[in-house]
Amino acid sequence: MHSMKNEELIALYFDGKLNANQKTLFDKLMSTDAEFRAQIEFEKQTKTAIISIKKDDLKRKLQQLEAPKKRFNYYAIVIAASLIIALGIFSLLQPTERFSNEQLFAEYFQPYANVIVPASRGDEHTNTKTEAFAYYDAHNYKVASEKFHTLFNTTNTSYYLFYEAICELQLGNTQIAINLFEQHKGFEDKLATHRNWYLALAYLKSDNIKDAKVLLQTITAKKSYKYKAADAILKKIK
Amino acid sequence: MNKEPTLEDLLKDKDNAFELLYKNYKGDFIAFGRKFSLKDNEIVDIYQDSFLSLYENLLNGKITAFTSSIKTYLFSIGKFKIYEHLRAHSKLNIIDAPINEEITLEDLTLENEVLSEREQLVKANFKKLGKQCQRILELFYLKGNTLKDIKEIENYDKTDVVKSLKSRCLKKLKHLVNA
Repeated sequence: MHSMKNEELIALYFDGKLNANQKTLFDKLMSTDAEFRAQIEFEKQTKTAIISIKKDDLKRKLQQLEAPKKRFNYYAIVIAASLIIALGIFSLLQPTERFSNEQLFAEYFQPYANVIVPASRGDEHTNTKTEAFAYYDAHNYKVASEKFHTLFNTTNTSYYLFYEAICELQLGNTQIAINLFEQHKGFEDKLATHRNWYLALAYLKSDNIKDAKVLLQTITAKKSYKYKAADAILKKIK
Repeated sequence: MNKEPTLEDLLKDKDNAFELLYKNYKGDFIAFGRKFSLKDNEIVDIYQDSFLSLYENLLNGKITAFTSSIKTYLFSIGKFKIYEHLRAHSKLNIIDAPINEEITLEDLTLENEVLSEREQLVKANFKKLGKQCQRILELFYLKGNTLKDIKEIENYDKTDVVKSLKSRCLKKLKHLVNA
């Protein structure tokens, strides 16, 4: 591996503190020593990755500042409910069959089953994990989401992200759900194909037809989870 | 806002520094965005994006000191992003004038990042490292700390300990990435 001297040089480089001589040496190594160059490249990627993680954290935080209003705005719910009723009456008067993205979402979305901690297991031992899934099974998605969030932060286990996203989708916080699914992409666990299906539905709900189509096409092409339903949706949004 | 946080407070997100800034300037920013006939939800998206860009440039060391108020930074970055948004939606063809001449945005990273496949792999695997490794590498790459600084912050005996720890953590990460 590298000599201590090279390591110090790299450390100074990342600090932006190379003096003229060190800079000359650094440049020389970069152009002549492939191993040195690869090391710098890897450390740069690491720096980029860390910045990206920190930004994701802040992004979630800021989005959560926006989220509560959407969840608890009573008047908005009343207005939305009246609109739904009005639209319902309106749609009865419409002779042609047309699907809105929202309708398609409602038709196809179903929270994914709890495959992690089945409730039937007669295990009295309750920890945060079983608790989170118990809330999930009981359709208390708000509390479940918070628990999954904490669990992911403490264990870095990717399926918690997936379930947190499903909760947010269920709660109507589509954008938050999309971001969580996007984050889940970094893990490629066994739920990857399931995630694609739910992410496609989330895109659909947020009227992002372009991304929804791309994902649905991937699902049908690979015949992965829910490919028949994906095909049916594709025909309807054409 | 009475008093803005320092750059160090922001980096540590001390006392929810970002949250406070976010809440304090949101109303003004929305009013600002409406002048460009943007919808409120578009403005909020741009506002959040501006925070992320400010944070990124603090983390990558491109902003090392504030030459003006943080609010001015946020609004300058925000204005840049509003113009970018309008251009992308072909609503605008003019060149914008800076809010404050003292702040040059040219050197900053303001475009939304797209990680390469390799970087995404590094990112996913970084999260699998132990807390100590994550912390050492963060301290090293993000905050412009020298190995000696890290020795002091984390109470290690010798700089060499930090040095070998950093190198061990990087090796571990590389191993995960190439696995």
